[in-house]
Amino acid sequence: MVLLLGPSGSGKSTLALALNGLIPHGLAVEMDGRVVVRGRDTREMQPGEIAALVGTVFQDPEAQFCTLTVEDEIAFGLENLRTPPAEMGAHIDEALAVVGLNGFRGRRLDRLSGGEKQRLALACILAMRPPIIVLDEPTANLDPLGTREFFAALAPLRGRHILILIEHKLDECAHLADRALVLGPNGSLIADGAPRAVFADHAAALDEFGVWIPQVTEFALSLGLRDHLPLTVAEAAQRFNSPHGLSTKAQGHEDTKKNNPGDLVPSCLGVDRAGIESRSALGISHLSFSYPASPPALRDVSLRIPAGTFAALVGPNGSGKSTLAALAMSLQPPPRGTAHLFERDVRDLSFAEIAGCAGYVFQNPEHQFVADTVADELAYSLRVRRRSPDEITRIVENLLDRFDLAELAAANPFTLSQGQKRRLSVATMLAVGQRLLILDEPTFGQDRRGAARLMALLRDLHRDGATILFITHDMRLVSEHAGTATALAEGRAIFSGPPADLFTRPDILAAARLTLPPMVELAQPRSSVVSPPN
Amino acid sequence: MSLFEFYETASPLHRLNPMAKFLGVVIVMAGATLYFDPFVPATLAAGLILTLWILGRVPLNRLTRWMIPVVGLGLPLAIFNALYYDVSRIAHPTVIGRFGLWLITAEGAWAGAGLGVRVACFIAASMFFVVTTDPTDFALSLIQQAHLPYRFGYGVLVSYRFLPLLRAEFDTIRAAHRVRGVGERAGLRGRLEQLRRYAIPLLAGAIRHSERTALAMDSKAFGAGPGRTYRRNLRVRASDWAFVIGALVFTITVVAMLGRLGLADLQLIPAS
Repeated sequence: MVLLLGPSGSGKSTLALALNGLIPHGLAVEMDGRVVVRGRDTREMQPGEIAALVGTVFQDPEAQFCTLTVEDEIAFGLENLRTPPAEMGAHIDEALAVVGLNGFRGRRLDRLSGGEKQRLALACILAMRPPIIVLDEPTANLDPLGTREFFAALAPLRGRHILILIEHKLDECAHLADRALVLGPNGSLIADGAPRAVFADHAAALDEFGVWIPQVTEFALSLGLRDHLPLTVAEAAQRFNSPHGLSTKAQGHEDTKKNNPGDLVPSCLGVDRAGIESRSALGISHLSFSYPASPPALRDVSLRIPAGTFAALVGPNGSGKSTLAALAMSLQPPPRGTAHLFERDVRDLSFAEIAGCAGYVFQNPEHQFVADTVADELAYSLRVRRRSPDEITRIVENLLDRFDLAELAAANPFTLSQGQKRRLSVATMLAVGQRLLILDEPTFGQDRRGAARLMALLRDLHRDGATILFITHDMRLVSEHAGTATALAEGRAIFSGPPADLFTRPDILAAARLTLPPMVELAQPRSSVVSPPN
Repeated sequence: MSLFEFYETASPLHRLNPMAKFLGVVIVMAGATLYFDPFVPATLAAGLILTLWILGRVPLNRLTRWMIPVVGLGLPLAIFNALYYDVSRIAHPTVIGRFGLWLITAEGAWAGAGLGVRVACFIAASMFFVVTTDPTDFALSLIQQAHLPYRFGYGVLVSYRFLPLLRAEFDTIRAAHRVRGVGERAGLRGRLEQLRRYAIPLLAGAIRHSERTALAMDSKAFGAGPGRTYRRNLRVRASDWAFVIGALVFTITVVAMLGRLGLADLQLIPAS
């Protein structure tokens, strides 16, 4: 198994497309040089021949299927390879067994979870029996347990297939790899070797370019270790040779001191700053909600987020996290008396009032862009509110500066990089002085540098007194940033409290399909460590 | 709003080859097309709906819900045509009454009813097909029976998958814009402006999504060779022929009987 690493925009996915022959056969792009698969130049092969040798699992579980049921989807590739229909059944059953989806043959694709879909995507490729499988961020959309299950299905395939894996979540998979390749920001190869050696010898470059590495490895490097770097929690525990791991504690950094007031607008809903800070920013009481003709999305959820909290909302896909956020923002009107923003029932607030005191950053930043330039994007909600031109200029310049977007003021939002788009979408949500910011997977698809930068910005906002609620699958973010965490499972809030307490509750973690962040696992007594698949 | 959707069950209608079902439905629709009175299309539509209920095993409550678009599109059309009927063509229009500025004539009401019921019949016919046809079977029969290129058949299937996703995406963008403080605006100019705002992220997302799907399909050797095999081969059976012949017999019987009663108004070349 080969790991392919690099910051966003370094060309990992492009390389993946060149390996499976879609470049140059499927996409009209120019390609110099050669890609040789099993001794043959891909330019001289037929697309069908390459597909029989190199299979690809893509990132987006929704976009890589073209039929409606599990068996049709697996059969699709076999049909393309002109497999006789009589042989297909055996191929399908075998592939499903390998990925742990026995009994799923007749299921409809729209009834599968994200994790099941990705394992199906792997089964589709396995059924075609290619010697080489390329996986382009296959776990990006999965919850923590789904990620672990995916790698558990992948691990035994080593030796039978050459696996080329592009992945950000290295905690679960770095130890499975024999070799790591690192692409630099300009698309050139900067490192090639065994993962352990690459992480040790190129630590500075990986850090500078924002390449994700396993958390325990990062920790060992920060302690100045270079030899025998640990890649997994078990290795780290052994390396540090202590019966109870290290004495690092899972710490939520709850900054309660607010001695650095920002100059963003100091009031909302007609309440001054001091008044706001003594209130609860978000209050949910006995909220139940169902979409038409669907099972309940939320069941009797109660939750209080005091102003000035840095809070995380976790749980599997479909557990009601986004629904809860949408109801809090009144994007779906909640039943009267169940959702309060700064202690006012959202049903009593106009949409302008809600949008004035609470911002909601959607998962895909592009969804929220409404203007043609970055500066207009930031000015938009101020113009809607008829603020004076002087004030607009002042606030826009402040935001451009603070979010490091000044040079891009005249650029079209759609042309920005992933990290820039994300920063812009957060900045737009602060323009009118919102005091509560809800973010849906803010670090999704970001490289290490982009994610770190964004979280630093959120920390600054929090220090200035803003309340932050972020939805995430990344347990590391929860342990490093959140003061409180709420876990949802099947529409119920099954936990609310400090992350350190959440991490001591295996029952809650299992029900919400969460895993422990590696550093927390390392800090726990050895006996409770569950090793990832070997 | 999605008008009708496939209702999954085992029934004689569900088991038919989609192309045979399509042919049968087209025959009934042809009958409705040629007659300008309300009676022929009304009887044909009633026949379709009754067959859908009995042979298609679609529960009555679903069927009732799906009647809303059938009536909902036919009725306004009938009323408008009745109100705006061009009376100047007729020497002595039979005036039934007045409704504000509008003159209501027997001729107008007749023509309006004919058109409204015909449109309702077409919608009932498409409901008949959509509700009982598995989209995968439809795509397969397009390829295997209608001999369309398989790329086209799979295109139909992919777009079937794509539509609900596009709709969810639209809802998300709408919500995302509301959070930005973009009000839903009234008036034609406001609506157009709003449509432009939604269109850009929606199109950007749709193009990206379809590109990803196309790449995923290509990487599984789709379209690589001149042909491909099929796990399932749909056949044309005796029951399929029986359905087509049944549709033909039913249509001719309806037309002949109503013709005898003087209720059918055949117009091979429409008068207006």
